[in-house]
Amino acid sequence: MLTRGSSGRTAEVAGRLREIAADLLATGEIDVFIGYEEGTLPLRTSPAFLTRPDDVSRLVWNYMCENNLAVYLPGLKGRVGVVVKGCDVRALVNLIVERQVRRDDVKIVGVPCGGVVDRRKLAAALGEGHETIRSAAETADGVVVVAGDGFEKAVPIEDVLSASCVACTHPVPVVYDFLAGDDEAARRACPKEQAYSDVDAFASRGPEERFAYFAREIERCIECYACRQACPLCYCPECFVDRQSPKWVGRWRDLSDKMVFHLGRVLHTAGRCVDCGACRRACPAGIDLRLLAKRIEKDVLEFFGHEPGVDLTAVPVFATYKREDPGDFIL
Amino acid sequence: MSRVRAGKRRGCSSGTGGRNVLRERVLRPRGELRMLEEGRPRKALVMTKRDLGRFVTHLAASYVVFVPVDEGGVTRFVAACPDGARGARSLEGDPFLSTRPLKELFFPQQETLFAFDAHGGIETAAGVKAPALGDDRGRARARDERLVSSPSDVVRVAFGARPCDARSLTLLDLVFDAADHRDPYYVSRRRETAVVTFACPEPGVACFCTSVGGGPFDETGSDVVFAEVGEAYLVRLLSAKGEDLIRGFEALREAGEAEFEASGEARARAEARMASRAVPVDAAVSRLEGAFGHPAWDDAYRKCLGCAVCTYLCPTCHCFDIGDEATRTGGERVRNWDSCMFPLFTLHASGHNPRPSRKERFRQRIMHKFNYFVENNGVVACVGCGRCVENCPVNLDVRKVLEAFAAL
Repeated sequence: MLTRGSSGRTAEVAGRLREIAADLLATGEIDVFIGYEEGTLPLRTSPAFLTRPDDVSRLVWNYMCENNLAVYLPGLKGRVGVVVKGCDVRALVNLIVERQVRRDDVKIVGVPCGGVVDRRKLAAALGEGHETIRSAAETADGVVVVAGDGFEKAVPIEDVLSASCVACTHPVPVVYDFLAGDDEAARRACPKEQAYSDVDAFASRGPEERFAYFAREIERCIECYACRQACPLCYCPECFVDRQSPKWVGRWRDLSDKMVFHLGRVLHTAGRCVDCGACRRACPAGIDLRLLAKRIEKDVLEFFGHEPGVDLTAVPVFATYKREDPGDFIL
Repeated sequence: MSRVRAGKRRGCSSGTGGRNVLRERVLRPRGELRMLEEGRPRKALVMTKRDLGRFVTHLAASYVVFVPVDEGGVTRFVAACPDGARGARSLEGDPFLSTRPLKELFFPQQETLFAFDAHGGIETAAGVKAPALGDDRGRARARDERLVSSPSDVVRVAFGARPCDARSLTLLDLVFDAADHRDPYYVSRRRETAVVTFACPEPGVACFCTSVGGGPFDETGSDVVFAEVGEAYLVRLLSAKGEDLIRGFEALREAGEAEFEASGEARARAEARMASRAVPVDAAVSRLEGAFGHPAWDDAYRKCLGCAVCTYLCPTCHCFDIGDEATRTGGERVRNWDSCMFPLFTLHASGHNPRPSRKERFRQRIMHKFNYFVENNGVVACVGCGRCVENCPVNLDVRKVLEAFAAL
């Protein structure tokens, strides 16, 4: 829906993606190409699985390419080409390092990323009376015109980007086989010293206030597990919450059950989470635990000097041990 | 009181093809689907928009009134404050389609079937006691405080439903209130709840109710339907339950031809708006018969992530799991929503899973709604509310899936 009016940079990227995909499929280097196609609703795109060069015209690129397509790779048979943003490829690097995906089986098609729109932020920016968006189109680079029942508004993308994108330190993919677009097309990377400013601000609040915030978020959980399913790093064959014997987590009204799931998931992705924001965007209740995950990311960086997903040879921080690792926290 | 002619009811229009046997089957449910009491004199009144808040307050004096309330970005039906203030606030402007479906007032995500305690040891497990049927905050409060002045069984009002959600209740009735299996928890909640629906003059972008036998002004499953007419509502009373609700509320006048006409035009506009994006449901239903092993499933499911957004937010999905939540001294036998999209749904104790991958699980969801349910009940298990379309993390649109199968 966004693509029809796409202009300038994003249209160029889409054109380049189609060329790359058509080549890879025509030469038989890959069996399937995973990219984005136009969605069925305004402000939506949808993952597309292409197997024939003729299909590539379906591919699009815009500010609504919100899914992390690396999620489809573990367990996928055959050779695959995949479109990745700066964050997505870091999740893919993790999957390769953790031996869930073979590097040789995947053609990484990176896109220097301009960021992804947070639909909830957009709805808030539009305000009341603008709930029903009937169309959206990019009119110029970085501006989306949204129209609905009795209104039309131009919104600068910059104002409605996902929080993850605002703090993104790697908008240009760190690993790729092809790059669709040049570095200049990407958003300016967030300076490292600013990447944790919202986390630090939140951390400075009192423990009760922080707990109340997370409780309020988790209370809305409907236990659909969309966050887990949208996360490329949640690939466990059996999630701990699905375990029946022993049963770790109750399915009951108690907030603590939901909390155990969410906190368990955040801890399980410690040192691996790349803040792509896919979990938050997948959540039908808009639950936001990003601050918690981001704080853990910061701890892992400060304590162990590890930044996940930027190095194909770096061992995951919790899969290794060094004598000089800090141990003060061990009781 | 003027009577609404039966002929005013819109015929079923799916927007596809001519009449055929299948169409009859899909759109004309057989068996127990409780259509409204046909032939019953129905009344139509007019209420100004200004009086809406006062009406909720009026209702809240006698009933527990549930209204759609936005709770941190999630809208759901919540009991309004006794003075109705909360309800009135949330109804300023048009009531919206709640994020969470109306079904949870009747079939909640979690409920206790009975409680037990273990005085004297686990073996004796004495004290098994069934709760008052349909026991929940709403009913308990109504009974305890003797708020009920209504002569009928109704103690709760779901106020601000949409026609799709109201219709979904009649589909759930087929499951939970059938001749050979009646679920007392569900049935009692249904019996004691009146449904007040607001027609949809401006259906949303994901809506497709007209393609599955409903409509933006559909009255199926509602006791009262409000339809906007300028600065007022045309209020149709469709059942005895509905008539009880307005008793004692004076600020109503009988509807005249002008209101009927205006509402009829709004309805025609809304339906026309939907006609342009009709989904070929009949054709899909007919192709799905025998399509269990079709290779089209290999493509249809691929982008599915395997979460339960579509099933949990669906107003007609009704699968559940029963388990025990034990404490040191007792526990509860509980019933929770379950989803066919989870591997655990069909995992056998042996470790074998007859639906081993997302493909089989995705197929199950589509087949249950558009094939098995039709087989069993003569109607598709979908009301076209569009929640699964709006909320799917990957925009896997059921309308597209149906189109793909219709085109096979």
